[in-house]
Formats: sequence, C-alpha cells, structure tokens
Amino acid sequence: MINPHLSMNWQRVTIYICLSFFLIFFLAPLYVMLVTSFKSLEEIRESSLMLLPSEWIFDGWMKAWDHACVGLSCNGVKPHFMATFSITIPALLLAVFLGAINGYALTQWKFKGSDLLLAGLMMGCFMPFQLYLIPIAVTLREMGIFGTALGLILLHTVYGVPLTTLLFRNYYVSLPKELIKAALIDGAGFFRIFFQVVLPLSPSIVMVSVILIFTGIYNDFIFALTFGEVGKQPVMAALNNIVNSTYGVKEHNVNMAATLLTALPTLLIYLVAGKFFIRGLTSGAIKG
Amino acid sequence: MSLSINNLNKTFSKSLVLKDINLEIEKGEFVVLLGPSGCGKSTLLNCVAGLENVDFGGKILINKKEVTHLAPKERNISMVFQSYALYPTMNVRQNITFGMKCRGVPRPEMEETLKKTADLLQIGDLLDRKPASLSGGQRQRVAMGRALVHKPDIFLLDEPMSNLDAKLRTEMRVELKNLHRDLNTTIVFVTHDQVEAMSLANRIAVLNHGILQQMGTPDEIYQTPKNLFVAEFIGSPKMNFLPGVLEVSNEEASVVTEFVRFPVGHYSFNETPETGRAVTIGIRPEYIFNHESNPKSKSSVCFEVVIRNVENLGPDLSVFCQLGKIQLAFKIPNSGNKPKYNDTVKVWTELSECSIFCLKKGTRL
Repeated sequence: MINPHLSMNWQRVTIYICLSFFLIFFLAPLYVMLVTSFKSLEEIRESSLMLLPSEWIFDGWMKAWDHACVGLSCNGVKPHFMATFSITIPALLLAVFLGAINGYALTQWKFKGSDLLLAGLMMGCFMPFQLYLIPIAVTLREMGIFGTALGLILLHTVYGVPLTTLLFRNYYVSLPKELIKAALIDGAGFFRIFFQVVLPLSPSIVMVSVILIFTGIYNDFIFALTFGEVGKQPVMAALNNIVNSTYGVKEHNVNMAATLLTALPTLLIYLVAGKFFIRGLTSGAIKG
Repeated sequence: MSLSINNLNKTFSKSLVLKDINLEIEKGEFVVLLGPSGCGKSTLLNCVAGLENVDFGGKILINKKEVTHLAPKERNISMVFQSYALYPTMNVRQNITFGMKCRGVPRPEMEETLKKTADLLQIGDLLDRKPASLSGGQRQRVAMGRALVHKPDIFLLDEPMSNLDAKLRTEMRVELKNLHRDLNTTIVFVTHDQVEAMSLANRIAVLNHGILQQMGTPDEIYQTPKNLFVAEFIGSPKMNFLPGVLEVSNEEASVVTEFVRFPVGHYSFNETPETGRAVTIGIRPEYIFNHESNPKSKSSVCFEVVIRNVENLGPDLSVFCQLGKIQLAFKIPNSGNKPKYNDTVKVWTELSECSIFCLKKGTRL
C-alpha cells in the first residue's frame, strides 16, 4: 500500500528540484552581471567569474550612469534615459488610448467591414519590423521628422495600436451589449459611453496593455538605432554603443552596470504591476 | 395615439425576422408583446427604441410624430432590460442620474427628480451602493428608476422579470401594475410568460415567427383565439384539439370526430360552414367536467375517456386522459374522490365557448 502523503512528498521533492534547477539557470547570469559590475577591472581579469567581489566598488555604476562614452559624447546613459522616456510615455499613452477606442468601436459599434478592418490590423501584429525599415525611412523623411523624437513617437504609436486594439477588442467583446443600449437610451453618445461606462470597466486590460507596450517600446532596438536622433538615441541604442565600442580596454564592470541600469525600468514595471498583468490576462482569457 | 407601427419589416442578414407588423397603441395602455423565444418580440421593441434600424418602408410614430430614423434619445422613450444593464462602476445615484446628466438637466431639478423617484420605488437607502451589492429585486427597482426619471412617453420593458424568482415576480407584477395605474404612461412589455401577459396587459399582441398573430384584450385572446398557434400558446394546460369533419344538416352544424359528434349549431362562424371541411375543434380544459354541468344545455356532449395522469395543484386537479389516440386535459375542483390511473370515466363538455379552426390553414372559422 502506497502512502498517499509519501507519494505526495516525492512529487513535491521532484517538483522543487526541477524548479530550483531552472531558478539557478535563469538567475546565474543576473548574478554574474551584478557581481561583475561591482568589481574592479583588475579583479575581473584575475579572479573567478562566480566569486563575490573582494572589494565592492561603485566606479562601474558611476561611469555607466554619468560619463561612459556613447559615440563622441561621454555623458553615460543618463541623457539617453530622458530621450527614451520622452518617446516611450507619449507613444505608450497614445497607443493604449487609440487601442481602447478601436476595441470599443470594433465590438460595440459594428459597421460594414469592421471585421475586415480588424483582420487587417491583426496583420500588423505579426509583421517583422525589418520588413519596412526602408519604407518608413522614406516616409519619415518626406514628413520631415526623420531622426527626431517625434518620428519615433509616431512609429511606436502606429506599431503599438494593432496589439492594443486586439487586446481591448478581446476584452470588450464580452461586454454585455445591453449596457451600451442602456446608455444610448439614456442619451449618451459614443465618447461619453466610452469614457463613463466602458473605460471604468477596463483597468486590468489597461494595465496589461501598458506593460506590454511599455516593454515593447522601451526594449525596441532596431527603430531606436535606425531612426533615433543623433546624440539623443534611446537608451537601448546607447547601451549598444557603450558595450560594443571597439577601441580601448573592454570595461566589463561599466558594461554590466549600464546593462543593469537599462534593464531596471522594465524590471520595476513587472514587479509593481505584475499582479494586475496576470489578473488582466486571465480575466481577458476567461471572458474572451 | 401614443405609438403606431406601420408596415414594419426587419431583416437580419437576409432572413426576415419581422414581417409587416402593424400596431396601434393608445396613450396610457399597457400592451404586452407575447411570443415564444425567437419570435422577434425583443427585436420589435429594439426597433421602437431606435436600437435597431427598420427596413425601408416601415414607419414608427410616437405621439403622431415620425421617429423611424431618430436616435433613441430623441424619441422620448425609456427602456428596462432583462439583465437590467445597470452601470457596474456607478452607484445607484449615479446610475439613475446618468441619463439626466447626458440630457443636461439642471442640478436642482435633477436632485428633486432623483428624490421623487427614489421615494416612489423605495430605494432611498440604496443610493450609495453599487449594483453588485444589490439583490435582484433591488436591481430591478433601480433599473425602473433609471427609466422613470426621463418622464418618457413610452416605457419599453424587455422581459424585466425573467431574472427574478417566482415569489418576487408575483410581487413585482403587482407593483408594476400599481405603478402603471399611478403614472398612467404607455407601457410596452415583452415577455414569453403567458401568466405575466394575461395578468398585466390591457391588450396582448401575440407574435410568432415575426408575424403578428393576434392583438386583443386578454379575454379576446383567451376566448376567441384567431388561429391554432394563439389557441395553443395561451392557457395551461393547453387547449384540447380534436380533428374532425364539418357536417351541416337542417341548418345545424356539427363537428364529427373519430369517436364523438359535437353539435356546434350555436357557434358563430366567420365563414359559412361547408359539409366535409377538415377542421379542428378546440375546447379549453375548464369546459370539460366529470359531472353533468347543465343537463338542459343543447351544446353539452358526453363521452368516455381513460385517465392517464392526475396533477394535484391544490385547489384544482389537472387531469390528463385519452380519447382513442388523442390526449386531452381537463381541470376539475380538488374535492371528493379523485380519478385514478387507467380508470374509464364519463366526461361532459360544454361547447358554448369552443373554437373551431380550419385544419389546413389553422385559422379560426
């Protein structure tokens, strides 16, 4: 006779062994980055990769933040953070807002060809960016916003909208139709219904969109590199510049510190909003 | 004339869901649209509300003003939905005043209307609560309140009681009837429940397959159904139908069925009866008795049936029996000895209130 508790324990042990393995597997690189960023260059050269620093030195972090060289200017990643946020925040707000409006219109105000429009928008989710680098470059040049923050805002808004539209559509498709009808009878119009009835019902899906779009824009490298303003590239492009600079000594501590600094905002947003993210995803899954 | 609907057709992706509907509803009337699910009654209500477009040619007039192409808010109607459709993020007060805010009603007037409505519906102490924390009956009251504040010409109610339990439904029925008497507004009420229809309506409009079958007072609908569908749909247990042939001799008509000959000389035919016409005679369960009700009546017939089932309803018994292969039902008072399964009993039927339908067309003769 097998003791059910014992077998449960064995299952547990196996699960925990597996989980621990994966935990180490995924956390080891982060650990290496962290300890390396606090070592001096000599120590990096001489000691083992996995050892804690014999002396904790913040030089790498200071330099990465303040005076590492990106191209010709040596101001660290600091100014590029500003550039990134001045692009990310407007584009994020626009993409989420437009996606919400689209999702609401496509589900509650169905018109002839609305399903076709949605299918078209969805295509936008699956196209690789590289495909239209040159057409975009030409378009931005013709619009006179090539190499400006405005160009990147426009670009990220346009490429964020399909995803947010899809998210909001799937959320709103399960919204009871009678709610909209009741508001219509009450005399509310398209936007009043959206702002006062529909939007207050959607905080979780707004959070999901914000997280996805924020990380999408923040982590974008190819647009940042191609269309970023010279000297004010978004931080991802700047990071690449720091890490891949080919002259001089490879400053591993600076590189690690710069990378960690750059990764911090996305890490924070998942930690702060992860709860909403999971809630939003699951509620969307159940309803949609 | 409060509401009139002329030649209204409605198609959904090529299938006709409403066919040539014509309705005239007087001011202050309580009209019930009754029909099985999918008959188009809710669609008709949505058309009146302006939530659905009407096919070309159809007209809807409210107070003699054509509103066919107006937006819902321009029609001066209000509507209560089956699910109540209260705004989940707003409290009761906001739910009720939302419409007035949309219409730009000045604040003092809004407060006054809110207070009056809350008093009328006894929801004054619920004003700060969210819909999720209200019971079904309370939600329904709030939904009614939201509709009331517009002081509409017409109230449209779309199965507002189907989410309530039986007891509450009976209470709300009485309340709604009282409310209608107090406010004296026109009400159009959609339901599939014949008890609701019979108890609430001044007039009932029976719909099936998008066609208006009959419009009339509850008594007209019950006693002189215009066709087989209406006859069968209204009444519980349903009307008994016996197929037979019409026979006319010596100016006296009778319906000859397999076992019984029914003399129907008293019946006022809409069409001249012809011998040999295939018909169905319909008799309500309460016109079949297990004793001789009126021995002198010329329109009384006696025959024998075999008992199949007896349902005890308290004051009454519903008795289901068989005449040959035909299932019959009748209702008798619950007193004395009850009929038992497989008994053969004599029953008498009173034909003064019977209905005769053409078997082929289903229409009343």
